[in-house]
Amino acid sequence: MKRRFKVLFNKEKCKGCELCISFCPKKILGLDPEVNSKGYHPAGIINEEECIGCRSCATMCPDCCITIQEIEEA
Amino acid sequence: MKTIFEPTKGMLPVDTSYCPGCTHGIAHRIIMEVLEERGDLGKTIGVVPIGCSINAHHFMNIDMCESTHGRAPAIASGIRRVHPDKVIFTYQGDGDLASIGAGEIIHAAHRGEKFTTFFINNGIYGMTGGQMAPTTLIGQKATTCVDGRTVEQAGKPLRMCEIISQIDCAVFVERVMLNNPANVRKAKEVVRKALEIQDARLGFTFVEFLSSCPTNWGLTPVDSLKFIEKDMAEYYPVKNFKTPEGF
Repeated sequence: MKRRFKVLFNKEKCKGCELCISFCPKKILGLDPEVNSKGYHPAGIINEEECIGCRSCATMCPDCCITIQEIEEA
Repeated sequence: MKTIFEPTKGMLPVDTSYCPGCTHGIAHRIIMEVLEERGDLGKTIGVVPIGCSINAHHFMNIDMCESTHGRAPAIASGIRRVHPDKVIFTYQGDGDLASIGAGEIIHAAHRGEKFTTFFINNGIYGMTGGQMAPTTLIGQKATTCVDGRTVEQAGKPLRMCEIISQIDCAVFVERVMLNNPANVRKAKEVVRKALEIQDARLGFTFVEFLSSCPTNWGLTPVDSLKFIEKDMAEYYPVKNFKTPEGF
């Protein structure tokens, strides 16, 4: 069975540096069109179904913005 | 729902003062993750420098002491004498450690002080506006060498790991780089090893991080990491210089 993951971004804390986007091996992250209160376009996940839970985004995030959860099927 | 990665409790839930993409944030996080995993957040004292990381005590969830420019090793030496059972580290940039604090760090190493120094080398003075540091590479531009550093004008960059590793009482010296997820994970294990050697009270421990400064280098955060890998790692070899037996 395919493992599924949920990637949560702290949009208010994100500074839009794009390190997570560039290191995502599945290339499923991108910047939001809206800006946060600091004026940055925060990062977010575009295609969560494709996530493999590798944690590369969270490992490279300089601002501790990313939480990753594994969805456990009943 | 099982959480497989969450921000470490070692970092306070506040915005850092660092520019977007600055690897100070990554270095902070891996040090705090190691301390949290070891259960040391309540018994660690950090000493922070002057420089961009001057505000680190607002971000790290441990006891911390601010130091004067370059003098973090002297303050950490004093703290070690009154707190023999604590985990103690200094966190210093290259403008702080390799320039004004060069004397302090050499003598802390020479006395074999039982603390760990985390040295963030991004080859430039970040906070004061991108001036040339002792670690600025030949040809690299800075606000005080606008056409690039030359050997005639300013000599060659200082390699701190190579200097410290020649001192007998510095028992663990290693250089790591924060340019991709694999190397960040390796760096985290080096931090863990340095603290384990500190626990054994064998002598001075020193870890250098090759880091980025996207703002003052004039590069994007992603291109800055490529600069670390291509240019910095060529002059500053990423390797272990010294490890005590048994570690």
